[in-house]
Amino acid sequence: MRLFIFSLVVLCPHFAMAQSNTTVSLVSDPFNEIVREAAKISGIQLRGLVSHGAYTDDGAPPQFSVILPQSWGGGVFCMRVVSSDGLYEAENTYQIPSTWQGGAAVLDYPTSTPGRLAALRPEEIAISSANGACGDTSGEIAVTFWEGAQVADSVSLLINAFRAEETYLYFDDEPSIPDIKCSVSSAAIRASFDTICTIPAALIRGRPVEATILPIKNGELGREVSVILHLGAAG
Amino acid sequence: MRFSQLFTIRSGAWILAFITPSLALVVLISILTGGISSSRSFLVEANTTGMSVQFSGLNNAWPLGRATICAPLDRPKRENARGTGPCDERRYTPSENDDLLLEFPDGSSATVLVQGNGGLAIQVSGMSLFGDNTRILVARDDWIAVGAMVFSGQAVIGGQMGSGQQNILLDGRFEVRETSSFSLGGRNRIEVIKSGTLLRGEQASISESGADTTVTGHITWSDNRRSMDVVIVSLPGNTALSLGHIGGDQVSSIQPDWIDYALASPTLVALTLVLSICIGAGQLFFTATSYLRKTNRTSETTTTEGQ
Repeated sequence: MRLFIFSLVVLCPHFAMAQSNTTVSLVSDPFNEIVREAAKISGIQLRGLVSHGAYTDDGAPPQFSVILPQSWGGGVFCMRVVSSDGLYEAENTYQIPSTWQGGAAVLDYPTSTPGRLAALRPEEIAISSANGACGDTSGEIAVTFWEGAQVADSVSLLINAFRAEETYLYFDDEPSIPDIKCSVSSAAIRASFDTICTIPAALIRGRPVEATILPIKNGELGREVSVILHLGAAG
Repeated sequence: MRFSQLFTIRSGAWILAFITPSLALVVLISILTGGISSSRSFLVEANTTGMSVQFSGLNNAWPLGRATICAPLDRPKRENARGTGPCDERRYTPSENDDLLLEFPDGSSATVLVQGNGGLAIQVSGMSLFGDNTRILVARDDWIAVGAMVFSGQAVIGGQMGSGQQNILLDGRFEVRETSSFSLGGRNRIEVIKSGTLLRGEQASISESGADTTVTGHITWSDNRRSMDVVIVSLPGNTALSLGHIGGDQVSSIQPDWIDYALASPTLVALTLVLSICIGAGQLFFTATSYLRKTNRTSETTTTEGQ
């Protein structure tokens, strides 16, 4: 009986949110997160577009928010969270209301391990919010904020370059922006991503841009991969 | 006659009674000090496809002979063609050198990788002569003609495992050697306190108080065309072997303790053997003494009764 009342108390707000027409709602049920004891390495190259707040190891549940463009309204997006060591993964689909005007949305993130997430340092977590349902994303990615103000000062693109010696990031449509040389992640265990590219400040809060990632491995230029980055509410 | 015999045996027993606990104390002390000893050397022998070194000191030079130098361009030229040479010309400007001597200044670093064709690719940084990330390619025959490449500095064998890694430790072993506290016969005894094997895909380095420490070592070609053999030896100190594994959340540190010392030290085994002989002999002496004393008393009684 006590369990029944508890379930009602816990679940009711979720149902209420799902009904709402103006807020972004969590579609995945149950909430899909994996906390495993051994690393699994995904074949996905793009692991996150993140703006980190100040690191505080206070054990409080982390707060995630994402700047969703107006054009994504009425659709779904997939938010994927992975830790650098590959021991934490979460992949969940969220519904965006059709009346969405563009802007920041705080995401419902009912994690079972808030302490573990809170203990991750900025270089140890990658979050990607990509347009489309999980497993069927379109190659467009929106900046996600972790534990920070929703105005991005610095945004990082986190990728798994499969141990490339060097990785470059190009913005071919933005001639004024120089190409970026990415750096190897400073995380102790680089199982799920190994490279971090800092997005130029001039692009932050602007219109969507196409970024081309070029890995150089064993002295040879690799295959270029393009992705559209949503760094502001426009588009 | 009987009394002098008894006296000798009794004094022998007393000597042994003194020696046995002293020896036990020596064994105990050497176990405990062995466990906390800070003058051990790690030796690592590995067969690997790659390794990296940060050089220290002024004695690091590799006479490479014939080599191709791929000097990096400021920025990759994506629109250009790759070219047919050994270096990707969209990223590097190639040049040939017939008599290359690589002299590594203190603090410079190199990553050495065995290529698919059996040759070497050495990527250097921190050198005044070459820009950072310059690749130096040495064909396998030229490498064999050069011979061993010796280094001193902080070395890491293999890279952190992950999909796409090409710097892979294939197989290896390690030993911890220590000079025994007992230099019997005026010679220093070198003892192997701990040994073990390295697994494929591990990343091995030698550390002291948490940071990579200076080692000396050499790189030689392996019969397997896809790898090279590396040996590194740490300077004596309170060193540990750091091993990175896939799936591990941190680097594991291997360091011998008093249990390894008690189990593996030949000096201790010898001391324990001597100790057990002493205990056995002591037991024998005491039994003999008490038997003789008893016999003596009986014969004295018999004599008294006889009178």
